[in-house]
Amino acid sequence: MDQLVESISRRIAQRTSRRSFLARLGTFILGAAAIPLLPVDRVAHAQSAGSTDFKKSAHKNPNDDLTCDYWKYCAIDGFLCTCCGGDSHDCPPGATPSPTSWVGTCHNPGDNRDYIVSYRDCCGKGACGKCLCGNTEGEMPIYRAQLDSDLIWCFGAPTMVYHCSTAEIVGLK
Amino acid sequence: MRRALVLLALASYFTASASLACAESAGNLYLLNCWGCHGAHGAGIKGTAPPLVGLSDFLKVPGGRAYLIEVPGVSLSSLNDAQIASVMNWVLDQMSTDRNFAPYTANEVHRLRATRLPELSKTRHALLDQLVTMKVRTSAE
Amino acid sequence: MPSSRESAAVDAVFRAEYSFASVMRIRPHLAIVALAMLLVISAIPSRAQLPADQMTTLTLPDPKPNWVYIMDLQFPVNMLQKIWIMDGETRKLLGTIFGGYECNFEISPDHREMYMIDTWYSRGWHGDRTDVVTIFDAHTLNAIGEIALPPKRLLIVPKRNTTSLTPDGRFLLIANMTPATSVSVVDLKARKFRGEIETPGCAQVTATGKRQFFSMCADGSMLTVQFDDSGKQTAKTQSKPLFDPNSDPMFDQPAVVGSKAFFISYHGKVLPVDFSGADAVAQPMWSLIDDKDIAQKWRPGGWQTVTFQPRTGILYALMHQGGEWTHKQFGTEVWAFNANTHARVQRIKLKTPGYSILVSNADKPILFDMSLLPSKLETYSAPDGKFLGAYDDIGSPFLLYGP
Repeated sequence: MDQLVESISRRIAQRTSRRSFLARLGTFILGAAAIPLLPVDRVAHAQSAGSTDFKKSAHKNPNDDLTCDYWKYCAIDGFLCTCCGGDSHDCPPGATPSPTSWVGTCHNPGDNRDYIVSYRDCCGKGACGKCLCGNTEGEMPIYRAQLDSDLIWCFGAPTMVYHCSTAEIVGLK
Repeated sequence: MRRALVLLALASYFTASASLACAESAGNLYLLNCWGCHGAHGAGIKGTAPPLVGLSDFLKVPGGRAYLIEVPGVSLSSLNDAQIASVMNWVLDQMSTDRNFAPYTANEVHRLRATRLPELSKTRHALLDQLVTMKVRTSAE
Repeated sequence: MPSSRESAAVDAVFRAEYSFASVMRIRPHLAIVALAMLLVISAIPSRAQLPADQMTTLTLPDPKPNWVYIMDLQFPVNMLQKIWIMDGETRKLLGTIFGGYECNFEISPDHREMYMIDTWYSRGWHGDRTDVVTIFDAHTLNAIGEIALPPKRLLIVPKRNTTSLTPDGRFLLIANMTPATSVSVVDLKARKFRGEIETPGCAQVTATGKRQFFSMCADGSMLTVQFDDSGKQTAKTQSKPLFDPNSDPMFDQPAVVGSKAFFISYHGKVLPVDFSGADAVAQPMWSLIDDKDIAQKWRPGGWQTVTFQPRTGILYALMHQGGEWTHKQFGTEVWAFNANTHARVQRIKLKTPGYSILVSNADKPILFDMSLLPSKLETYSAPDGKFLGAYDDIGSPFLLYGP
């Protein structure tokens, strides 16, 4: 019996790092798209139905840009650049902002206004892999490419390798 | 359900106010639907998105006016006819030197967007070549 | 109990210091005992050294109808994706094929070759981009050749219907997006890229005839393209819209068999389309869900959400309970329908909620249910739904293919 427990524990330990990634992937998947790339022209709301709090925090905080609930991220889909050495509108060192982006609308509960937000991805480096968020609200299949969140939206960037996603305010609705 | 209600509300808002000034501004329609690829000033991205600068040139060549509405990015977009007319007129105004053009109307857009362009590249190149022939442009790029 | 002299005699026999004959003269009964012991001992596995192994590489036989090929993204890196080849009946892993970034995979209809279509950067995550078709021998799994492509293939989380083979296996079609869309035509017999065919406003590619394919368009119409043996377009027809993407989008991974496709929508409608002619012809839509199902919020969702088995005429859909825009939620059940009568013939409750499904075209069909989290492949007898077994830990699987 001792040997059985020991062998199971050892197997679990060997798989831990993968399991924790998969756990995050899991919370993301339940109600969200699986992979980089973001919707355009969505009328979205803060605290939208599909957002997931990957940090499993008890508090849903629309002012914390390290969580999927951050108000600007209302229709984001991908790894948050804030977790990868960038911030919500800046790419991490060594990654390039994609010249092409998605554009959507998010409600800011702070000033009660709707802002037009560009979900510009940072490209040119391997996938960051941290802070995966996703929202499938308004997400469409590939024949409506502008609304497909599985597409690699690095068109025009030095490479089509997706690193992380930002949310850049570009106007007021 | 909430989403459906919002969409319904928006749809009726846009339909009702299509001809009213309080509709979504043309600038915002551009931001939401075109800006992401064509850029703030219509510069476009070589090999990725064509420039919109000097779009009014197309109005000078036969077939050009229809072409601007027939391109799939316009004709197949989720915008309604009035919105397309609004944003096209805005682009022509903002990004062309020649502001002397007959604005698009919703009816005209409705008629034109029914046509598909299965040979888009050929159509575009033929128009650009004509622009060069007519000395409207110096290059067919 | 042997005397010490007798023991010494036995030892001596073992040490072969004395011949059997000499021992027979001295102690006949002892010699016989020693001989018997030797015979017995020689039958027991000796502690003598094992012979050296002969190292070889195994090869695969021709695939069986219940084999399954699983695309593993190796998420989140995504840059060295792979295919797991498995016998669906025994759930034994038979081999793997590796690829690069956002791969597509195809199997030749004659089962002699397999193809990985992918993108590579010269320094892995940066450098010069190359898009290629890598040809694999289906038995040895060796990469036996490469065909260069224009570096503009559609880069998306791997989906079906983004590459396609003509039924005779001669042409490989690859969807491109820059974001302008087109299809690259590759002649596999000549091992050459032949050219591109534009598909403005439409995406993806699915072969539906000897020299014919379709793409799905942004307004819900279908673009049907015919081409010749030189890879050049001979006809292009855009249908009227067959569905309204604004009110009820069709998923973009339909079940396709020959020239017939079954699309299903976010709201549970089935749209059968006949692509045998030059223009796509829609058949009447029907619904996967009745009023009771709608009240319980049943709808399709996942990645590969619909699969069809021609020999039984049964259509399978991956279903979950959820609201609007839950089209990627894991499915908790698979519903089986008679595609002709539209009657639901079975509701299969999945042990593990799945993301992609596939039914095999075998005498004893297997329904494969692939789960992303936990990473697992489950098998069920189809259409009855009897659970057959599962295979754990298949990386980050997204797609299922049959031979």
